Amino acid sequence: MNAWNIIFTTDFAFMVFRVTTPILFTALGAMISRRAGIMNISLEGMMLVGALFGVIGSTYSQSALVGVLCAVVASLLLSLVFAYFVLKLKSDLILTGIALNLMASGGTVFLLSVICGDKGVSTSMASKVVPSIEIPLIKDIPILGEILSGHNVLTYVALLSVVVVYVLVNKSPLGLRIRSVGENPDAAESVGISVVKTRFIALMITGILSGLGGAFMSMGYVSWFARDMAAGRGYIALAAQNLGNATPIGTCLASFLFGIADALSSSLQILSVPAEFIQMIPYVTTVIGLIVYAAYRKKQTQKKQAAL
Amino acid sequence: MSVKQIEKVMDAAKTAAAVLLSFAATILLICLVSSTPWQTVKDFFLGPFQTTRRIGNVIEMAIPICFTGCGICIMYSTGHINMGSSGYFYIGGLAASIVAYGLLLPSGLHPVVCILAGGLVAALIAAIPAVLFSAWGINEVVSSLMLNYIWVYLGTWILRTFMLDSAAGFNASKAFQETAKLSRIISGTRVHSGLILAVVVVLFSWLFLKKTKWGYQIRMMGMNSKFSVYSGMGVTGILLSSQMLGGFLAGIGGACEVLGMYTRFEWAAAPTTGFDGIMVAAIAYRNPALVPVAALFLAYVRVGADVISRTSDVPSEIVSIIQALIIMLVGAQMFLSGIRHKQIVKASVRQLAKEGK
Repeated sequence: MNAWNIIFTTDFAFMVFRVTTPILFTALGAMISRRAGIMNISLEGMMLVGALFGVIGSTYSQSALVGVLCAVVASLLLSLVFAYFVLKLKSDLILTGIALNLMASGGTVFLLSVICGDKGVSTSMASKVVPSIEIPLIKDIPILGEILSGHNVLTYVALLSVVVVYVLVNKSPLGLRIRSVGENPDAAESVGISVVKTRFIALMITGILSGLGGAFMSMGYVSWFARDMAAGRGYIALAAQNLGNATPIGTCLASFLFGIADALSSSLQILSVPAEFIQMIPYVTTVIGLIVYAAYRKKQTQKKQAAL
Repeated sequence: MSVKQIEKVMDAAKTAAAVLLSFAATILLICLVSSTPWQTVKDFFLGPFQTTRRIGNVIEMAIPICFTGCGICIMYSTGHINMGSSGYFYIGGLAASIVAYGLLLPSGLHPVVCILAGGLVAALIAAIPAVLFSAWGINEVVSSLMLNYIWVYLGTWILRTFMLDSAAGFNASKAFQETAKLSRIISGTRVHSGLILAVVVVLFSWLFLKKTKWGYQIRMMGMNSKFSVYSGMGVTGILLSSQMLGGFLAGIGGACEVLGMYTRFEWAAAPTTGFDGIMVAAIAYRNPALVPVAALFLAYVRVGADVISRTSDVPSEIVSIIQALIIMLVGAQMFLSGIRHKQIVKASVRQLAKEGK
């Protein structure tokens, strides 16, 4: 009974939006990479780099906007490195991703230590936070207003990104190129689409989105940078994209599923269930989600084959 | 030189170039950050050799990486990338610890049972991503990454609930029986008899992968899985067995690490040894015989970084930049490919000319 009292509250629903934001940004990024035919596991590193540079940029400029821009640019640069190695030097995707994640994990601590002498958190830096806004009209609706209004600007940007990414992938010429390069690179090449160039662009978009996700972590979710603060969200985003079958809507829904799991793990900690099991929820959800979805898809294809 | 020899020489040259480039980047970074750059650079490169203790540190750090590295050589040779070895290493250590404090056995037998327990449990959980892939086509990269988190949380819960020794003063298991510990084999260091097992594992992995039919099937599957299917190899069985064997090796690595380096089980998170194994396997071009060299190298730069973080103002995390650069350059097919191409063309022309006569 106690658990239900925690879950069915506007506070909980509000929190779901908050914790989903970084996953949603990054999962959309992962989706675009995947659509271009690239399994991108360097998202974790991109988020971390974005989070640190958001703090650095906003500290030195005293402007949250400049901070977010710094985060995006830093993450974009990292994704360019990834793209260069994978597309030009033909490095192994996974190895490059692991290497960049390790570099980001250690490199951010290195930079943090050099800048403020602390290897753990950036609390000594006077960084800025992206403000929260009340949405006129919606905020006056009973219940719904409490859930949907008053979020961080970046949360609304994330929700808008779903629409933008949907239009980009499904309705724009660039989206068509990205999809064709992902589905059949040889065919795309044969009609004059540059596979390398298109994938470069797709990876750059991924970098921008992951940078926004990282910026939210250190300039919205909390107001500081902490070592390894992405805490596997980059990998969860990859899983969300996988579970959402690389469609914008599916990815968005899957991200919310992980958001709910994440929110549960923070709010159920007052219950007598061991903390470890509650912290496990997002990861277990991912694995179960993948199994359920894959089993469903297998059944569908079997049905189709039987019908033929 | 034959084409095959040229490929080998070029692989070595590429690795050497990657190492030199990353060292150059390190020196540059140290000069940018440090107030005493030359002393720091010297400490970084020579520090690890200066005392017996530090040489010991390099060796003891390389031991567990040899296990996970060999395991990953076997797993990756199928072409299926499993990122779970951190979790297998952790669980291997946990399972071995339970046997190490819970059972009373004679001293020769006790460590063997501990290590086997660690390896077997790890092999079992290593089967999961392979099963998920074979049954439903679920991407192993994602599933094994998620499972890593699950194993560590599960392990922490087991540690807190069943293994905890409240007298220890921190989250640690009861102390291991003396009979279970691996003995020190080099005085003045903490190098333990796990080193011997590491050597055995390297030899075994090399023989297995390069000289047996089973190993050949594994490598063939990695090179061309369709060929394997059409020529009648049981692909599912090969995949499953290779992942379990890789998990087993990571697990006995974890077991050796806890029995050789600790007196209680106290890991609060999965050690990075699993990811280190991936790096080492990449630097060794998936050849188990080269794994110890790569592992020692990795341990050497880490000890160097530890030394300078204590003697200077440069944080030890600088090592992550070196590691990343080396792996990315070694993994880059096109890096130095121009020279490789020219050499191969030359050799082929020479070969043709010879045959023409």
